[in-house]
Amino acid sequence: MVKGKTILVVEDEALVAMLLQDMLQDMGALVAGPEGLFDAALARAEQDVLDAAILDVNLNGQSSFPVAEALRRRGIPYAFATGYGQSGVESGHEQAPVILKPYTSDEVERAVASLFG
Amino acid sequence: MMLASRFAMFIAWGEVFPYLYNDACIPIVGARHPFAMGKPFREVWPEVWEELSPLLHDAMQGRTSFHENYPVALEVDGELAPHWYTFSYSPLFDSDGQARGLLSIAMDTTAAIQAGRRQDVRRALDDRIRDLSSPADIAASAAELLGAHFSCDACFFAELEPDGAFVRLDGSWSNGRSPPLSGRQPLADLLPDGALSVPLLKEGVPHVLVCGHREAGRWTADDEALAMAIGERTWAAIGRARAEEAVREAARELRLLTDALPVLIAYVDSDRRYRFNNKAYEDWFGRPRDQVAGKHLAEVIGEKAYAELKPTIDRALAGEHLSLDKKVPFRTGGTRNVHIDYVPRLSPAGEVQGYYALVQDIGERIRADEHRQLLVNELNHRVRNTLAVVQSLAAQSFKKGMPLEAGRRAFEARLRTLGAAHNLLTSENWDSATLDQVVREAVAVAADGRHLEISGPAVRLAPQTAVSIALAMHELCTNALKYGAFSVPEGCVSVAWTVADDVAGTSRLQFVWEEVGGPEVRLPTARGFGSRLLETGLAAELRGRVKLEFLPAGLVCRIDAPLPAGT
Repeated sequence: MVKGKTILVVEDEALVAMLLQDMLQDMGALVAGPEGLFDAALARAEQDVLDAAILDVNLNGQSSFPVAEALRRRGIPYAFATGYGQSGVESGHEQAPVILKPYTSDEVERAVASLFG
Repeated sequence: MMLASRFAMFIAWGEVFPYLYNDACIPIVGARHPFAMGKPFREVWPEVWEELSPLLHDAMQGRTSFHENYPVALEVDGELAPHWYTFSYSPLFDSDGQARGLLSIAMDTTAAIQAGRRQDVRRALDDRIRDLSSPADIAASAAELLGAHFSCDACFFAELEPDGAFVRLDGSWSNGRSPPLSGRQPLADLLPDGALSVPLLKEGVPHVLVCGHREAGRWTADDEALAMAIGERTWAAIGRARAEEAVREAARELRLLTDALPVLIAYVDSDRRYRFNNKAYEDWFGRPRDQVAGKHLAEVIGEKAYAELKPTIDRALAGEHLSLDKKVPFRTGGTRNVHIDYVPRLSPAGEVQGYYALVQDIGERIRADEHRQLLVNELNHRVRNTLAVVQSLAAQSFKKGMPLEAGRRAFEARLRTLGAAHNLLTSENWDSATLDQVVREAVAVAADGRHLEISGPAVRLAPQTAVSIALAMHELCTNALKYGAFSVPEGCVSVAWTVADDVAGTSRLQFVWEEVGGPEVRLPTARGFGSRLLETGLAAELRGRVKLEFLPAGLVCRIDAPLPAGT
């Protein structure tokens, strides 16, 4: 289900980004990014050919919700990966699955699969 | 005629005025009766002969005289005592119209005069102490009055100590011939010969009024009665003054105490008017005390706040004790969070007379609570992020196909560097760390004691960047220990950076890690975690370029990135 899909990874912490990238690639997904910077993430959300995205909520103190908005406008499904949990997600994005850090590969796969369900 | 009269009368005639008196005169004659009957006037009344003989002789000249409240000092029991008489001397004529003797009709007015004088002293006392509020002033004023009235040397009030040997003087007066007294004195010293002392027992505490020696001689029962009356009267006034003073003192203490409290305190009566308020109350509403006292609630707290609080105030005035948190309109606009306690005050009959309002500004507490919640959330977020970083380190350390033992050692070393970076940040209040600190700390942890040269201007790194750079330095150190400059004693790593503006005016960090003196470097066959973290992860995080050059003389790592946002 996840195999072959292009998934944008937005994560400002280099090590965490590498982990998520590895997890997704092990599932057979193609990774766009990882992007840790807001501007670059927003540009990709607006322009790249994407099937889905996993967004860290907090990018060096900047919220990634505008990136989520851009994805929604294009009909691209997204999930949040955050240490804040559901309470850290802005209203209007409640439909997006939340992956709580630290996460397992299975949790990521289920969340991403649900985006295509 | 004379014998039957109930007026005191005597007749006297001739040269020596033999003294013949009726029964009504016996009280005046006193102990001299019956010796006095028929004796010459001079023998009967030696102490007043000199004074009265001119009046007797006047009568013998045919002149009638009338004397009202005439003062004479008569000897009674061997002492001279003042007496007053209203009397007439009327000549008695013979057939030739010649005065041969005289008739005296007398009335002893001593009691009335003394009563009047006591009354005068009491009135004078009342006049003097009416406007006095200090017990000491009242005592001193009464002592002065009584001393002057008695013409004695000194007069004072004293409280007896339990053993009775010492007294404390409450008010003392002296005519100047004896030194003025004050403070604690032995009682014996205060009671010279000829002093009058009157005991006064007040509220179980023995007091004494002492009037000192006087020239006029001994004290009469009348003096003692007057001293007693004045003493009692003075003491009653002192008692009242003390009670009033205690009330004033209690009010002063209450004021002092409540003014020192940061809590707003007020007492509001059942008409919703202020009867008491403390300093904090005035400051909160920006009104001086006289603009609060007696005013209606609505005037002081504002119509808006009053409307908001009215239901609660109604309940307090119905006798309910209330404790609640409330957001109330503030005088300068906006609202304030306060904690309110309304404590109704009941009369002994159980009627609500008013209520005490205790109001605390809890804005600070609410802000602190919110801030704490924010910190707890932030802590949770950071811990979870750090756990994700640890998870990533584990995933990179335990790659498929790698020996488990080597993976464990690599993982532990990476965790140590991560821990050291956190220590560094904690010591800097989790605010930021300098690039210099981060590099030194990472090298110290991974390659302790190896030769490191480091130079560069101060650059502050945000926490997350500091952690990433620390881990990147760790990977460079590990590689240098295995294959590079740290693998031989003479090897050295030089770390240097500069900060300069590029053409676009952006400050850029140029960072170089250069290994020298190590064995000849060969190009690695596969890129490991270190290369990936540096060239991909760190480069992305710094939004720059990170390049690893495996030069034969030694590895060179160049970082070129916009100056990282520190704080």
